[in-house]
Amino acid sequence: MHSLELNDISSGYNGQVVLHDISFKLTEPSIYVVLGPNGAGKTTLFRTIAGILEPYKGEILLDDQNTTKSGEARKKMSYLSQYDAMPEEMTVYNGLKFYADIEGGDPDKVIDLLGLDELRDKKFSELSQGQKKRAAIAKVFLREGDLYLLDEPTANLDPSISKEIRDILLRLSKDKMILYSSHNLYEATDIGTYLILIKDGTVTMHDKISSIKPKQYRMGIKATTDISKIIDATRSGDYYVVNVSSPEEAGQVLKKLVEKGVLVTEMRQLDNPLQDLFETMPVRNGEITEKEEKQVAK
Amino acid sequence: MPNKSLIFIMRSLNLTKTYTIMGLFFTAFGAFFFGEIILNAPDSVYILTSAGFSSFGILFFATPIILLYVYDKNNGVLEYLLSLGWNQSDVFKRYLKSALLLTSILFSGVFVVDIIVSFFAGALRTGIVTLVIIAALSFSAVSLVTIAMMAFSSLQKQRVGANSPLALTLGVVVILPTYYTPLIFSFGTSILIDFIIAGLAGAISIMLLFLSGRLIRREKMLP
Repeated sequence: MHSLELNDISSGYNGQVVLHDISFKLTEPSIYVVLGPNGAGKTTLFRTIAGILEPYKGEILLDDQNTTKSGEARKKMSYLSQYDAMPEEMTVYNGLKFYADIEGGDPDKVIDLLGLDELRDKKFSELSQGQKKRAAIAKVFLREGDLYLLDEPTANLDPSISKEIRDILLRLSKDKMILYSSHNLYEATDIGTYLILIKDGTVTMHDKISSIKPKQYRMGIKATTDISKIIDATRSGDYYVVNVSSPEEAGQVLKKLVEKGVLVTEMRQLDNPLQDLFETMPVRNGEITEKEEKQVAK
Repeated sequence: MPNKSLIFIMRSLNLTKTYTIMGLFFTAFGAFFFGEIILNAPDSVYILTSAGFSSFGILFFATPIILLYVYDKNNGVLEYLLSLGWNQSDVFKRYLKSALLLTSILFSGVFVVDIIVSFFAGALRTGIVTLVIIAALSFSAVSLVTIAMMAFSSLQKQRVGANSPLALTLGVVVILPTYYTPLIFSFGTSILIDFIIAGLAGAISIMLLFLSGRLIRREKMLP
């Protein structure tokens, strides 16, 4: 069983602290989505775990080995930055070979894994943004690590490629730990099992995504008749919008409509459950912990 | 597995041909100047001036490695190398080794040409002395310029290009006296001054290299 432990980590750039006393422990193979607004410290967190930045204080343990002191621990990690970090003047194959000669690995294998056959002999500089990203992602898999640090891996990718990448990561997550940063709330709920929420350089929440409950559910209902005369609903575009406090209450609303003979053609949750986390206090099962309150207030 | 420095050299040559052409031109001119003097006046102190031309050419020839460093810093390659477990010193050493290998390649050509010409001129000893000066000046100047440029680049607050690397002027400072010492001093004194300058440049380079881990923060290598 692998584990990643951050103990009291402070880190930043040129002496300026960006991350403040970050502590958390990951103990099971899974996808941990790191979410936070721009400038929250996501990239700094990834760079610090990857060993690119030396923490000002604290320690990072991967499988109980200190990553700043143990070369072996560093070899268990793979990092994808927001930059492609591929030699632009080289072909995709030669660029991957360049890294394979440094860190080991088989370029042919990752080309096959990411479906890059048609790009193999093209110069990296001639690729589209999405193609560049795919090639950049490929290099991360040259090294078979226990921990993958992926900083916005699906940015600039079209939906089908994003899905392919997410499928690969989901397969990997059965026995690897994956830290995955994203701005996309829907992607986060789609792929992640755990959420690490960062605000102003501190972790304000670390929990299972399934246990995060929004304060309010906004349900969109499409129906053949005007349901605002039956329930408290307002028309917004194609939908009647109903505010409920729980999924159970949404079920009761649906039951009431059906009993009144209304034909409901569509019913869906309009907001992402993680949306609140960007805008309000973090709420877990309806309660705010004292620690979280202090952190958010800070 | 191919030599890693050779890969870096090939990458740098793919980036720019301008410095390579300039380097070859100056070096060829130095070899021509050397041939003219040694064939016509083998005892002339001005043979040392040819060492200046050749060293200057070799310095230009190795400059693409510096450009590659800046390029790799800006596109995230250095960041990725750091994530693979490299430290600042490892990064500096890799680019320095590549620059010195590039220097060796052109110096080997100069060596062969100058030895053959000296042999036919019957002044092998003068030829060897000149080659030693070229080696001392060019290797020390390339080391100093490469390390200084990497340091300067790492100290930049803004991402800017380096098509005219600032540190090249340091190399010029190392090599330029070679043109003037024969005008002022005797053959022996000129050689001594050249060696002192090369020694100083080499010592500063080594010192900077050892201090690179402390002087240059890792975050300065990020894009």
